[in-house]
Amino acid sequence: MTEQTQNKTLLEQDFTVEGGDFIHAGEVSSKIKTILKEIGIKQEVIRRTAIATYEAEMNVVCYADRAKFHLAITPDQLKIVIKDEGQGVKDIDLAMQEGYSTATDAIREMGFGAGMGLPNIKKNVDNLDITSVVGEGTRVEMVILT
Amino acid sequence: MSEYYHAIEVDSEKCSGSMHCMRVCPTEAIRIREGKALILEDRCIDCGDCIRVCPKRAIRSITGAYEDLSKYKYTIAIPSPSLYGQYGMSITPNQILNGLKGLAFNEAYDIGKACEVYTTVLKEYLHNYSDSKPLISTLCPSIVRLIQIKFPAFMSSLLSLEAPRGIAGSDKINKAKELGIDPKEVGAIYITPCPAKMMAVNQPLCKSDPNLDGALAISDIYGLLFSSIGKQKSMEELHVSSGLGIGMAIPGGFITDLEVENAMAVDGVKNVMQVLDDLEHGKINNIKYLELWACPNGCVGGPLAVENPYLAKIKVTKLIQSLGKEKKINDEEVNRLREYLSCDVELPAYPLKPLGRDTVDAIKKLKERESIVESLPKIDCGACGAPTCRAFAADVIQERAEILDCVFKLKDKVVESIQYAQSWARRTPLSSRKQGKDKN
Repeated sequence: MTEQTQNKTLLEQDFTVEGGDFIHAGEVSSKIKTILKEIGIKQEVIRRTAIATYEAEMNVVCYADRAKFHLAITPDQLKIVIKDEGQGVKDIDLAMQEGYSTATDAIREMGFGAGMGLPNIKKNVDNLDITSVVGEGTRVEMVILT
Repeated sequence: MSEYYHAIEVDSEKCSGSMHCMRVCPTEAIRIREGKALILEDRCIDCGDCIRVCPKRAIRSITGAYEDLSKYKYTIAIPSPSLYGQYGMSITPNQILNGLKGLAFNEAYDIGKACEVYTTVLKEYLHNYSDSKPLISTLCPSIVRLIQIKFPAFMSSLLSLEAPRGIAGSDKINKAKELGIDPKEVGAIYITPCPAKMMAVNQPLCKSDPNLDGALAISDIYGLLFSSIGKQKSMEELHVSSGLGIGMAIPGGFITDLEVENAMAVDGVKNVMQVLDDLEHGKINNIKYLELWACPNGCVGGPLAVENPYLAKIKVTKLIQSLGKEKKINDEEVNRLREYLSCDVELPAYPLKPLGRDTVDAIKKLKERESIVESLPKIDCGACGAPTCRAFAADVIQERAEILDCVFKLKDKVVESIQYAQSWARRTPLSSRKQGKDKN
């Protein structure tokens, strides 16, 4: 396969997630999973993507105002870029540590905010890149090789 | 046997194409073609939701006929535990078993015995189970089929134990020995609340060689049995088991018997799909045992059960209380029957086919489908014979339907045709045409 065909985007789709919308939380990751099943992506890749996108979606619902999920599928990888508007992450290295969380009691009571979100994403993707500006928002880019 | 055996069929004489079935089917397995319901084999999980809603009773289960019992030299009725909830509060399992024996059966099996053994073994199994993924119950064959087609990743989580009905079926070998006849001449017939168990008779979870020979619908023998109950001159003691495990007739009914922490019971296909979806996203954690039922209210809510499922639930609950949960089957018998429980899940995953032959082709088809969906009214009216606009669009790209099968698209086409015809109607003959005008 030439480099050009490898990079060719076969499918691109945008999804919106609203912060604080716990009722619909998980719908976007479900939609992405449905697409992946329909286009015949390997089970193992679907499994990892489903977990990573769900964690990312919950991060938005718990901590951000809103976010756009951009899914791009090329012949050899899935790339999901999440840009949120929100408080941002002060110390990304710290946030990547298992058990570290800034969740409020209310969120913890709902069973979230155990500090496993970002570490769990990292565990399930092949490449993770996070940049953030405090007070503005966070950009998460995850790549899963198919 | 075909890859997909189904125990549900449409009686096209009775079917009026009224779409009730198509609208409730949880896996979108029904289309209406030429005024009749058509079941898509690759999507149907035999749950029987369609049977419940059909106003013409045109969808039936392919369960056996009572008359077929004469094929065997010796017949054993194996009741679903849900049968115990079908008759009045004062009717005991022993009366029901005697009633069954009073019909054309030579024997009525004490299913509670198999439930006790199953519960005992499952309890041990769960005690030793330490995987982080929940173990998924395989008592409901529709759930197994749902996982085969829509959630193949969970095939490895399926509990590999033969169900109590299977234990009872295998036990016929001993009866044949005792009688000195070929086991094939002994008919082990399950009395079933649902078509799914009939499907499982033909495509069992564990063995390619079925241990049950057939199934009779509770609804088909309800009246006969009703008349037979209490009519025996002398009652035999056919029911000797306890209430341990009988609770499997209702959702979560025997979870406490398993003494397992963090077990969850879910009923209704749509609820089950939601839970499996959540499970795929890692949203559900720390659950050790997941009991899933296709029917709302579990087996007592089966489409071939007769009693109001809520009343049947009370009946079963009271029955368990009165029977108690102390195991009545002796260890020797448990060990004898235990061997029939061992099971290697032999069923393969049958995942729904992707939209195209490879990823590139499938994405192309997905885009085509979505662009068709965009052009449709998206009100899921069903007039095209598909349950949703999206399902219709998928049928179009798979050449199972044509775009003009959508009445709205057809209307657009008619308007377009009329406008085209009008453009011709405006054309005037050459003799009366003014110069430079109405040339068309």
